[in-house]
Amino acid sequence: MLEYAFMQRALLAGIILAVALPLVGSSLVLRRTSMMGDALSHCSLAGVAGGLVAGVNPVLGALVACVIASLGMEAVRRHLPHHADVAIAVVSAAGAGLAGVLSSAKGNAGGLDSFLFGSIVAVSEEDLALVAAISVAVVVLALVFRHEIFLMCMDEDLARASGVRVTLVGAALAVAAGVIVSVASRIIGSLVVSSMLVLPLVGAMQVARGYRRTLVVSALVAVVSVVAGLACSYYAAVKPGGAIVLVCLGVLAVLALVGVASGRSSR
Amino acid sequence: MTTSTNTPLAIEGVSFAYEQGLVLDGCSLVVAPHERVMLTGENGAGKSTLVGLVTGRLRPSAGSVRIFGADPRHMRSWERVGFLSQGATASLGGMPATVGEVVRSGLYAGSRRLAPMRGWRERVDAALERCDIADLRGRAAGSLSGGQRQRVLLARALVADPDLLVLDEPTAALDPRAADEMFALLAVDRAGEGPAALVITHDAERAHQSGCRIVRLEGGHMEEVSRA
Repeated sequence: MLEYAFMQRALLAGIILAVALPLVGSSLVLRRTSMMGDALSHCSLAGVAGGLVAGVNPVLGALVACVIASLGMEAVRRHLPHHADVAIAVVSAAGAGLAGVLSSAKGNAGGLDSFLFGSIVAVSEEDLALVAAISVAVVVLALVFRHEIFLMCMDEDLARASGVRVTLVGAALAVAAGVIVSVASRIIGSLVVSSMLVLPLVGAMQVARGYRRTLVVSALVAVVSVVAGLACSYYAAVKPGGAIVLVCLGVLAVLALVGVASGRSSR
Repeated sequence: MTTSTNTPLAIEGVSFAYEQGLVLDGCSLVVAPHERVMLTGENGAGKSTLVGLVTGRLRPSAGSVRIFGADPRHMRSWERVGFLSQGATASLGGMPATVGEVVRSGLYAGSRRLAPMRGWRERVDAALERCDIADLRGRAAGSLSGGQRQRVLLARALVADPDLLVLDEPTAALDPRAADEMFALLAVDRAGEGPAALVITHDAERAHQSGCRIVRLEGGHMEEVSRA
């Protein structure tokens, strides 16, 4: 399958994304905002549909929609912490509703379809460059702010009392989540990208001990899932997003069994 | 108000109100160097609000809070403060971190964020020893009991040898024996040595037995109950 340039681009972009997605996902899961990924996936679909309607790059549309949505949810979470889940539900519903209406525009449904579960033939050179640039930026952000993110995952008061600028780092993480979800929509698909924010970390937590090791193992889980999922997509002619998530679920099941058998689960 | 940069904590004339009403009304409290103060009060008395004001999460509607002379919302020298938060005890249950990693995170505060202390391993070991949990270093923090987690967080607060400790309900959810042990840990180096400390606790009985200065928060006001 590697003799085709489109497959090389899809694999390369998928692997790069697989390293970045769990890094962002870990901050969502450990800060108990996993559902934010789902809301962002709906918004990315609305952005894609909006981009198709407006005649601009749909990934750019997804990017704008996701950044606005993620900053909005973070702002509500910060100012009305007891209503954070409601804000996520509202944004999720708005994204789904907008995506549905905009997809009804004339000739839009066909274009939107490839973004639902991703496409391995749709990754252009420009898409690959965009994925690489954004993924590198997200990984650098996660490394530079690793101590701050660790403290914020433990407790935001604790982070504040360590000098962490919680509002600033929280906003940066929200933007990173929005951006990475939007660029992943082309390959993995808007509807399933949120799974790749969460599942690799959950899998890693079954076997790895320690925060850094868990992040490294979660990136490995994501890379294995993306490569195997794209291979399944190519040989079985199925949508890549669905194949990637099902492979990842399989890996998670195996890791859960290994964790139970060895008694090394981090919980 | 002008507060000396040597004064660990100075709360002067602080008021704070939520939509439901006034919680703190002109509260004042100074914690001097090496002094231990136990702040007691019933649920809803405003203890957690006070913690929010000390960490800079909340802004007083009147008065001021100063830590070593600085407003906590703009303070940079957080490496001088060791903090044990009530929320962290619960969230440690979901963290995929080892005890060693949690304690080490106490070394990355304030200006030390990008330049961790030399000899951090020895510091982490010493803090674990001091809290009598050296054998837990490699354990997953999420697998520990509530009492063990509190000790881990106390070790984290102590690891950088801070000049001020702020401990928010260090005995919450502990059984009586574990609570006694925690207060014994807090009492080890009082009387003229060690960091200043503000211990916020609902456990008035143990606070009185500690021999520390006691301040009671009730009806929005602070009242000094006893001096050390």
